[in-house]
Amino acid sequence: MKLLQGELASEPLLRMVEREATHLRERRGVSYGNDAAAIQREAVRALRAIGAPDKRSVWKSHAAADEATVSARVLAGMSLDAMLDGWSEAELWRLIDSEGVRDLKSSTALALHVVAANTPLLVWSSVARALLIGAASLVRLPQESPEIDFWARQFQDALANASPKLAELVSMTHWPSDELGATREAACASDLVLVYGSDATVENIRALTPRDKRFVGYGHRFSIGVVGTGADYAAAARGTALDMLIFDQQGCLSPQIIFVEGESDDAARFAAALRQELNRVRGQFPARSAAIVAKLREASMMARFQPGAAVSHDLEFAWLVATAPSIAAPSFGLPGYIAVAPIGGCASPAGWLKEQSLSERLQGVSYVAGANDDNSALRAAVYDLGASYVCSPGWLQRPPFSWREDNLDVLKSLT
Amino acid sequence: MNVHDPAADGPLFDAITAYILDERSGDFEDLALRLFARHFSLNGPYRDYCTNLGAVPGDVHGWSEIPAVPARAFKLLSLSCCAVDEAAAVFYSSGTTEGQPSRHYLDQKALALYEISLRVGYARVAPGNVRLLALMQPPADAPHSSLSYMLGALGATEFFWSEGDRPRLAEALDAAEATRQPVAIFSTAFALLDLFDNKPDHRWTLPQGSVVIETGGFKGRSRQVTREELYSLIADRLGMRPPQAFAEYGMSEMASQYYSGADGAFSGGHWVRARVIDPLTDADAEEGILRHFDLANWNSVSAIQTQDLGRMDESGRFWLLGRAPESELRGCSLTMEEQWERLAAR
Repeated sequence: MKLLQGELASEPLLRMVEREATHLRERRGVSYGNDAAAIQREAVRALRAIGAPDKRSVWKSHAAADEATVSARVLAGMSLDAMLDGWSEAELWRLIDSEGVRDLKSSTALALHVVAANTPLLVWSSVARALLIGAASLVRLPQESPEIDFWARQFQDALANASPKLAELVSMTHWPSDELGATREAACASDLVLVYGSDATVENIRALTPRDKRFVGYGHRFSIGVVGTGADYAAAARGTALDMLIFDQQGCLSPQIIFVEGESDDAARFAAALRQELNRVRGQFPARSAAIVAKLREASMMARFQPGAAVSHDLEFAWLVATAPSIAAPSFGLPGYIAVAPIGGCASPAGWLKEQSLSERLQGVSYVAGANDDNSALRAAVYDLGASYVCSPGWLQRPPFSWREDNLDVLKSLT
Repeated sequence: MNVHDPAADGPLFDAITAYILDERSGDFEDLALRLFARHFSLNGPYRDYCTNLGAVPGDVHGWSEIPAVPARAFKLLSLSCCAVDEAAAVFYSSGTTEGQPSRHYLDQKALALYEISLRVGYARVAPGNVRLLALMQPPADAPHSSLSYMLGALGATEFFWSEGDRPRLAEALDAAEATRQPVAIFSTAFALLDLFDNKPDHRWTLPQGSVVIETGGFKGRSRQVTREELYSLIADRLGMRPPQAFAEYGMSEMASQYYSGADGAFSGGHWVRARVIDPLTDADAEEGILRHFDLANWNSVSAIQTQDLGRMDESGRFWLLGRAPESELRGCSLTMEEQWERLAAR
C-alpha cells in the first residue's frame, strides 16, 4: 500500500488518479489472478495478524509518543481495540458466512473510499471490508486532517507488515473535495464507491458516480442515550462522558441527548452526575477555538428558551450540559455539547421517537437499564427503535467490526 | 417599571418615536426598560427565556442588562408580541445554512417605527432629494426582504436586479454623469460586482453629492472579493471613495441600521447601541461577538446577539471583523434539530 503525498504538484491530478486505479487493478490481476476468494482468504489472514494482541501495542506506542494529540489518539485506540476484537479468524469467517459472501465470485475489483474528516478509524474498517470482498482500494483522504493521516499510516504499516502483497492493493491519497473532475475520474474507474460524510457530500459524489457503479453512501446520523429508572447514575455518567470525549461529539455515534426515565428531577440528578464526570475529564477535551466558544455560548442561550431548562458549562466551554424539563430537548451537534431530558411524560422513548419519525436517522443508542427492570418496557422500546447499534454507556464509540452501520450488511451490501 | 400596562403602549410608542426624531425628548435607559417590560409581557418565548435567566422587569436596571437573544432564535421561534397571523410584515433572513430563514414579525406599529428609524438613520448619512438607484429586488418581488422594503420606504422607485435591468442601469448612470445630477446608489455588494463584471470597460464619474452604499456581502455567491477590492472597484469604476462610498450594516431581525464612516467604523442613531461581547465570559470586550440593542424593535425583542465578530472603540463605533464561522465540519453527525427541520420541511 502506498500513501501518496506530495505528488500533486508534479503530476496532473486526473492522470494520477487514472494511473493509480489502473495500477491497483493490475496488481490485483498479477498478484491474485483477479480471484476475489483468494484475496478474501489473504485478507482474513492479514487482518487476524493486525488484530493480534501482541501487535496492537506497537502502533499504540507510536500513537502515545505523539504528545500533541496523545489523548485523542489513545481514545481512538480504544475504538480500534473494539474493532480489532472482531478481526480474529473465527469472527471474520463468522461474519463472512453469516452474510453469505464466502468464496464469492465478486466482480468488484476496485473500491473508491471517500472518508469523512471526523472519524479517523474509517480508513481501517472501510478498507478491511473491501479486502474481505476481494476488492482493491483507492482511498481519498480528507485534506488537512493529521489525525486521519496518522491512522491511515498506522494501517499502512500494519497491512504491509502482515501481507506486503495485499498492501499493494491499497492506495491512499489526498485531493481537494472541490476537485470534482478527479473524484469523477476515480468513481468512473472504480466498481464500488463508498462515501462517508454529510448528506451533501454523499449526494455530491453520488451525482458524480456513473449509474452502473455500485454506490453506498453513509450520510448524516445521530445517536442518543437512554437511562432507566434507578440506574447507577454515576456509572452511566462515566460512560456517557467517555462517549462524548471520543470524537468530541462530532461523530454519528456521539450521543446528542440522554433521555432519563422519570421526571425532571431524575434528569437533573443524572445531569449533575454527568457534570461531575465531565469536570473530571475536561482536560482531555480539545481546546476550544473562539468560533466554537461563540457557538456554544449561543447554544447555551438557545437552550434557555425552554421553561425550566438548566444550562451549565465549565469556564472554557470544554463541555456544556443542557438539561431540559421535557423530552423535546434541543441539541446542536456542537463539540462538548449534550442535552439531558426526562421521558416521564411519555409511554416510551420508542413511541415518542417514532412519533417524531427520527428512527430513520438514528444510529446508536447507549442504554442502561433501571435497577430492577431487566424485562422492562423501556428495554423493549430501546431495542425497537431501529438503531444500528445498542450498547452500554461508554461503548457507543467502540462498535465491533460486525456493526451494521446504517443498518446495512457489513460485507454483503458492498457486493 | 415592573410590568407592562397595555394602556401604556400608546404613550411608549409615542415616546420612542419622539426620541428617535429628537434625542432630547426622552431618556434612552428609561425607554429601554419600558420596552423590555413590553416585550417581557407580550412575547411568550422571550418571557420564558428571561425568566430562565432570572432577568425580569424590576430586576433589570439598565439597557445592557436586558437579555439578548441569539439571532438564531428568530429561525426557530416566533419572537413576536402580536399574533403572527396579525403581523403586517414578516422579514426573512437570506441565510439558508439551517434550512429555514429567520422570521421577524412586525405589526403595524412596529412597521411604522421601522420606517421612522430607517428614514432618520438614512438622513444622517445620505443626501436627501437625490435620485435613489436600488440595486436589489423590488419590494413587490421580494415581500419578505427587509432590504427591499427599506429602499421602497426610502422612496426608491428604480430597482435594478435582473439581467434585463442592466441596460437601464447603465443608462441611469450615464444620465447622472451627463446631467451632473447626483445619485445615491444603494446596492448589495454582489450587485455592484455584477455591474462591474458586465461593463468591464465602462467607467463612470458620478457627480459631486452622489453616494454609493453597499450592503449584504456575497452570501451564497460564487464570486467574492474582499472589502478592499470592492472599494477599489467602486473608486475605479464609479469615481466614489470613502466617505462618499460606505457600507450599511443591518439584519432582518433589527429595525435600525448602522452605516460606516471613512475609516470603516460603523455607527448608528442615538436609539441603537452595540456591544462587543467576549463569548467565553459574556462580558464586554474590545473584540468579540456583536450584540445590538435597538429601541425601534417594537414587536420582537430589543437586544440581539449576532454571529458577527467586531471590534469597538471607546465611542461605541465598531468595525466588522467577520462572521463566526459555522461550526466545524461534523462529517456524518446529525443533530436532532436538523432532523426535525427536515421533517418539518416535507
